[in-house]
Amino acid sequence: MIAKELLGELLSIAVSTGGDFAEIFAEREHATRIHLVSSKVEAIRDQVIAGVGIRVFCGTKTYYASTSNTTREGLLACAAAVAGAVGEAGERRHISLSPDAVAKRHTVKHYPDDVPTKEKTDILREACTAARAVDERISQVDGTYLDSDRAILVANTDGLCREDRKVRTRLVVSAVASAAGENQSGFYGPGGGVGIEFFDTVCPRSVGARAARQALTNLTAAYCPAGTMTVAIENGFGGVIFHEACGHSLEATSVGIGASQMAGKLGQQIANPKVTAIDDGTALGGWGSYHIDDEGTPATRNVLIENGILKNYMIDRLGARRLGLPMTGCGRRESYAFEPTSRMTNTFIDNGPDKNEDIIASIEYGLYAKEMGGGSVNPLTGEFNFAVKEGYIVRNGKICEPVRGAALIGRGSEILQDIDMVGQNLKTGQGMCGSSSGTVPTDVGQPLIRVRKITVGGRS
Amino acid sequence: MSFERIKEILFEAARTAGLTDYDVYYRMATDLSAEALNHEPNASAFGTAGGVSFRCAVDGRIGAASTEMLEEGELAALVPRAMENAALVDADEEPIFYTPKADDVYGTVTEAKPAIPTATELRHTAMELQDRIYAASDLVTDGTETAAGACEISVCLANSRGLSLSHSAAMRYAYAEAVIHDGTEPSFGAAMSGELDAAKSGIAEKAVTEAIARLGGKPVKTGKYKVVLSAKQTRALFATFSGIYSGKQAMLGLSLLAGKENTEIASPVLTIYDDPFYPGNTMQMPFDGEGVPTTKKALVENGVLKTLLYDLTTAKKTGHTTTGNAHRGSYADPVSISSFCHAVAPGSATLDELFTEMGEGLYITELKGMHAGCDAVTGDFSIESAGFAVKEGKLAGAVKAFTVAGNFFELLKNIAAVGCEVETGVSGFSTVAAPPMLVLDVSVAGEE
Repeated sequence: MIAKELLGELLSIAVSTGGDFAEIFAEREHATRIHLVSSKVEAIRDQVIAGVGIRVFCGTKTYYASTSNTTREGLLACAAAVAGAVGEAGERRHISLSPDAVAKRHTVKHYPDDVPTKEKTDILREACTAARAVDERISQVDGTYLDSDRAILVANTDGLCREDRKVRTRLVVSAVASAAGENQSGFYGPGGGVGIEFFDTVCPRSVGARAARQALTNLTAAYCPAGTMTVAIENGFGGVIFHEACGHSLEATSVGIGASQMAGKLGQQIANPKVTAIDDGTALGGWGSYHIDDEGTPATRNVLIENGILKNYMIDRLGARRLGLPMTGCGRRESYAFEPTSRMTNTFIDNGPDKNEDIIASIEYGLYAKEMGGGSVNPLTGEFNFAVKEGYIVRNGKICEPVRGAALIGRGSEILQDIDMVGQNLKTGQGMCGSSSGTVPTDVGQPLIRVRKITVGGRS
Repeated sequence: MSFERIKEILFEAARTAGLTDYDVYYRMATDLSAEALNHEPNASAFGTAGGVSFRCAVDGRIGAASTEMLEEGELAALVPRAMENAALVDADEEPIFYTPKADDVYGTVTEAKPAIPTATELRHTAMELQDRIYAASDLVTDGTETAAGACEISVCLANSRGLSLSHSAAMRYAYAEAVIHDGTEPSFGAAMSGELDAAKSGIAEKAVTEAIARLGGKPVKTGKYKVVLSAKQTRALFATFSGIYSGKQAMLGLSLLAGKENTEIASPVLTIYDDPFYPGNTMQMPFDGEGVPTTKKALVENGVLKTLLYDLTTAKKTGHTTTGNAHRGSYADPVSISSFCHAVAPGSATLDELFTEMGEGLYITELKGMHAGCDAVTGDFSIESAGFAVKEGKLAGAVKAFTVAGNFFELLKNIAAVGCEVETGVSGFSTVAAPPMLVLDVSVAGEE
């Protein structure tokens, strides 16, 4: 992407004014987004994203400059800009780079650019047509097909010089069911860190049908009652509870500056002993997987919590400096326009000791949250929220009538102790996570779990 | 590369390809920021990012392609890419590119473009905010972050029908987040302003006051409540649901406001404008994403829906006239519909008067996870909240760990009074301004 000699020159300029470390991140991404609504392909966004970011460290202070001007002049100006922010001109030193390759484990059979766009529109059409066919009350279907082929290069003054190519494919369907002047919606959006072969195993028709069925379920659902209840949260995207309640609080972004409920708690029992949680950037073909992170560090399988005991944080390069702990390969960014920081990859609660049927049978009165939406958290206090997209009342150990329109809220440190049953059907779901380094693809996951007590934000 | 040169390359490539209807949209942003943490400068960033998109009509279909690589070959390649994409889009109606008229009047921005500060000035603001936060209370602790920044965005739009427009706007911001600990629990407060002078904006003190006020928050009993939404949270809620006014969403059956023009959809105390030239907003915009002049218009007047928002295509399909609300989220995004400044008109009540009118209820100062807890298609919301109890018309202690739930379309009808103190946002070309408001009959979930 950039010649080795020029990389060395840019790094040399960047650290010439007092910095103790400099890093160059370059990327070129081709992203396709096809939008279908009212049974018509409405728009195709066909975008090339390309640019460079140069970062300099002075201890734990950071300086960052980025540009979409990737000409030699543009890059030299970018390096000079970041150096100028650090201090006065000083001596230039020679930077020697040692390019190496990280062993490839994720394979791509069909790269997005090798597949005609027509095939992609057909996949999307198939999914949306299937959604409409589920029931005549499906009044609108909005579908999006997305793929991305992103090449990155990272070089730094430690001599690191690595490249990676990350391919992702996703299909998202939103369905609306209407009756008696009321709308209800359903959503399903599976994705993977693979090429178009994603659809060898994921049937577009079933994606559309699943979104439609959720909308129809909600159409017949009453509002969820409000109050504190026992809640069983299903596998897959249900893992958003760990992502919000705990995951963000384990990122060095907040831990490293002491602004996390989890700071200083390594080795402590922070969760119920049934809870083991892992952030695995190496998961084969995972939505949040890669070979190297956006700082050039190889991805790892990072055990965060083992049998309830906090074992590690998610640590990027700056976080490693702040915490004095090793990097875990989780420095991520949306694009070159963002400075990287510690982020989740594929984060999940591992299978536990309880049988799924026992979990539901144990609930006298509560909520079964089958499908979850997104959420948010304040890492400082651990107060979090996330939305239930499809829920059912549980009465006397049986799943009963559907209910809709509820958020679940709580405090991370309390909820982790209140996860008192962990089932055995681990599965992941795909989402987009927003933070200071932009929006990045992340997997969440878990088996069916039971939370002893949580506030359910329904109607009173 | 200059826009003129970009335009030349793309227009030439388009003519060579036999195209007659096309446009070129360019957007470039320069961002500058400085952050400080725990008494020290912490980070400094400078970036320029942007790109260009090319749209064309082929056999009644619109195709587009975009790039950030502003090099001759890459730009010329946009034309065949856009043409290939057009072939895959389902034709609906003849695509429309705007033909400029001799009597078009593009509004004049009323706010002077703020000067872009130097990195040193921004660092000074961030550090001064740090000093003021730490000076405001002994409870302030590590994790306290402050920032100052500026952004300048240039937009150019030209088409094959003689349209050629450009506009540049800028904004500045300062941000203060105070982290405090009283020995038993942490708390935080945050404030933002378009004013870089820390003494003038007062955001450091505001953040600390907010953090202290939040300490000792008590749970709330589940039930129905009257609530006063703070101006900041009214802004957040109305921003989340601003898409319901899109004529396109209505046309697609994705907004329950479809067909409701000239009917009462809200309490008579509610009036909302879309104002591209909103006073005080430095990110004013004289033309929309298709090049149509922008104007101020009432969306809701005394509770009656006056109009939805339209771009050229949606207006033609639905028998309306464009309202000049074609929106481009970035250089690469397809044209959608959005307001510029979604401005809720102020009422006459002060915040204290709203509390007096409410008597007993909750003052909501935090709504969290709006992106997840709100559904614009159904209007349903269920949102994590925090704030203060109000008893006998007076603030009576912090409350937290509850949700407010309801339906936005019902909430619009349950607005009992609108406050007079409007808060405006610091954001790009699409923003929301709103005062606090008193809302009746809101479901709250807390403890039993």
